[in-house]
Amino acid sequence: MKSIITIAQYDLLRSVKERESFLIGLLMPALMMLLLGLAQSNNSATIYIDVVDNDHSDLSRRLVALYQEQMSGEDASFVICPYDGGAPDGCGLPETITSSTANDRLENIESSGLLVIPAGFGDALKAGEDAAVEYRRSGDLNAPTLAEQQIQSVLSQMNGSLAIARVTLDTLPADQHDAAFDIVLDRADAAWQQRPVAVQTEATTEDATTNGFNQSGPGMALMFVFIFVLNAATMLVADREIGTLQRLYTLPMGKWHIIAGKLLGRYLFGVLQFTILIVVGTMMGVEWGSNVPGIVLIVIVFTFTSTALGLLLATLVKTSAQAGNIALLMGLTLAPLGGAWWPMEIVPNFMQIVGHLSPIAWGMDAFGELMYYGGGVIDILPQMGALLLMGAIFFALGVRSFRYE
Amino acid sequence: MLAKIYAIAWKDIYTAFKDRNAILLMLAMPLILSVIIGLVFGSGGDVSINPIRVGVENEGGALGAMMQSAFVPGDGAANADFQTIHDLTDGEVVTDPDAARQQVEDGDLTALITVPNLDAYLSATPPDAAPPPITVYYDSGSSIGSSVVRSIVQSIADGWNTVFLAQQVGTDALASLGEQSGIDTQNAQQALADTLQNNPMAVAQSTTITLNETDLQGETRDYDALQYFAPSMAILFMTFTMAAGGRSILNEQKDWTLQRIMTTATPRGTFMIGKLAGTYLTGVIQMVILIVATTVVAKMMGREASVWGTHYVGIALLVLAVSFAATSLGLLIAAAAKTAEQADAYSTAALFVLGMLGGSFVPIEGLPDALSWLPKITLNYWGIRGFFALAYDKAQLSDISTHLLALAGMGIVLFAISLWRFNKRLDI
Repeated sequence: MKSIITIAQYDLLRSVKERESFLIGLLMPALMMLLLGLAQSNNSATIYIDVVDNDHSDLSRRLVALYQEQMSGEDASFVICPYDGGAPDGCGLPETITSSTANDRLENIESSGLLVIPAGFGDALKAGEDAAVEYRRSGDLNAPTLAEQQIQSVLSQMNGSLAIARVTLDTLPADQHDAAFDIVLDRADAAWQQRPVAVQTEATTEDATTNGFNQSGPGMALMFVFIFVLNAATMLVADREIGTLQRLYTLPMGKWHIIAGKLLGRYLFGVLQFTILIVVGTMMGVEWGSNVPGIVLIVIVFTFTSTALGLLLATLVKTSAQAGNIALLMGLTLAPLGGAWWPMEIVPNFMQIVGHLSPIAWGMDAFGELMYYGGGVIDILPQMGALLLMGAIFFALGVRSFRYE
Repeated sequence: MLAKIYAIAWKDIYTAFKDRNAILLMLAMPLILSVIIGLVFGSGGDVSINPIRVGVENEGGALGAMMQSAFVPGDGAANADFQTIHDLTDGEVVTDPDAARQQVEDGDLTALITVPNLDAYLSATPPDAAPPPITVYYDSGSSIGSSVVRSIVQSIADGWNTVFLAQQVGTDALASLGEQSGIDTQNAQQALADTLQNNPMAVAQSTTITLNETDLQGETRDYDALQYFAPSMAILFMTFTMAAGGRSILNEQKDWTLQRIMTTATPRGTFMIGKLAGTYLTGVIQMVILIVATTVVAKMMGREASVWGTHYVGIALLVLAVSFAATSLGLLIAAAAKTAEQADAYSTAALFVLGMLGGSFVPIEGLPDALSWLPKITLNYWGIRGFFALAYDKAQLSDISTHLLALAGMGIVLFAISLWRFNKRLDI
């Protein structure tokens, strides 16, 4: 046992001292956690929506004003930029607006969307006909969902006012419609300020949904620990290639002691790496949950499964270069499959099932239990059981097939 | 000289495409990842999610009944009105609110909707007190599903608000119009009340103004995730190949191959140009293979949209430009490192971070305003955006000129710096 610990201690110290380990094992995942977290936080960037009013009617101006009022609050993440004046400085509209300005801004992602109110919009509505507003979106792939939801929501209110006007005017003779339209519409718009039926929402965990770090933190930590620990295969094969293992076999100890020591060293480095990433994540704002034993259990069990897979991988490859590439391939495919890049809930059912072939999926599920549902050790036992089972199978197959020479 | 350049370049291309490990990194990985992403995100802009589990606690009243019909399929005609919601959700009637709240907290229910009985409040004109709100208690662990439920509940509530406000506003407006123009106010008010009573759904769901969502050209077109992720993965893994190309110079120096070549009548410049040409052409060939392969795979997956677009000149120019920028980047990383091992670590770290920053893993425009310029310093960003513009926006050459210029500019600057660094390094 002492010999195993000595080898593990040596390998651990060597990994800790290597500049490459620090760079790839800690600095890179921390940076990626930060970038992904910032990008996935719903409230990080301002989304500019340009508005071109080709109608210039009272009704089109009313719609633009409604958008400004509803979407451009002080703390809002949206800014409405009408081309007819009244655009805030932040919009950065050019002094001379040409026919291509709107599309150029969209292409350069200076704006995320463009609302075009067509000519004849107001006349159609006053005549009791339907009308359409065009919404062009940029290649800003984060913006459409958020912006379109808000745009649709404001439009619903305008539609509500128009429905009120229409149903009221239908009770009047046709020659009274023109005179009554604005009166009813003004009153309807004012009435929306006090919605009789209000909707109040309450989340199980406060602010959890707007914190992109809660997705990026566990996702990046699991992915990089997985890749790094899986590279135990590269280490073992490289040691075999350059003859280090063979030299160690001349020592008075069992061969499996040497392999176990090396695996333990990599395992301990993985635990250390995971712990540091959790601390760094906490400093960035990741809410890991308050159950520390649960977090510790995930770290210990997930790293074990990854190490066991590393051992198995070492039995399947011939060269260290092959091991390194396959470790990277497995990490980069099993991470998105397991929900490290995006929430598993947006994935179709069959892909969720396939995804759970990845240890990372079980790790993400376990963190989800702790973070969102106030879970503890008992609640994550199914996920830990799955990881332990995977680890045991990988380990048994790895030990059985490992070539010492 | 050309023969020597050709010989050195050809040797590198041959070595790269004969190495199984290199093929794994260059072609298999981006292809596998593209397929996974293609399976995860369907085409047509839809994200296929499982039915969202919703509990409805109906405390009585007309609004509660409507909310129940919206989320819980029944036998009535209302099923047709709410078919879209039924397709998205899996609703159940809640009789034990405490147990249902616990289910939400455990993640077994995405949301619990509690609808108070508002009949008494809403029948008074004007309402004599602010009615209690509809509450939606949702699972924060299900950001997408809960957002869908909240949006649906708000939409139904607003439909109800429309009906209620129509009664209130319409009645008042008709009264004041009657005073001004002498219309029969009572008859008009009765007609309004009858309409709202007999057909409230038509008023609640009235959509006078529709929103047509289009692309830059004003056309309605669906977005296919592969149009973004196929280029993003291809470029990411091409940068790894280019870094390996730059690193090979260090390896040749380490193995003394370089020194041996230098003893022959091969000028240093010829050697460098040959190496760079080999690396660059390897990147170009890798991109071309991936373009063809992902197009074929997309067809096999039944995708209708063209993954890379049909502007072949634009695609070719972008391939040449992005490969050039990546070659220069790979060379710079190798030039900055002292050993091949160090270059390996530097390139892995740098290319992962630049890939993340450039949007290779997920679109990253959501960065805070102060950092929004950061993606633009990466070749991944300009390459992905250029290819996406060609495929999705059907962009023309003039539309991607900024992308081409940015990539060429990056390539030239990085190339100049790395050549200067390398020239010093190659003193033997």
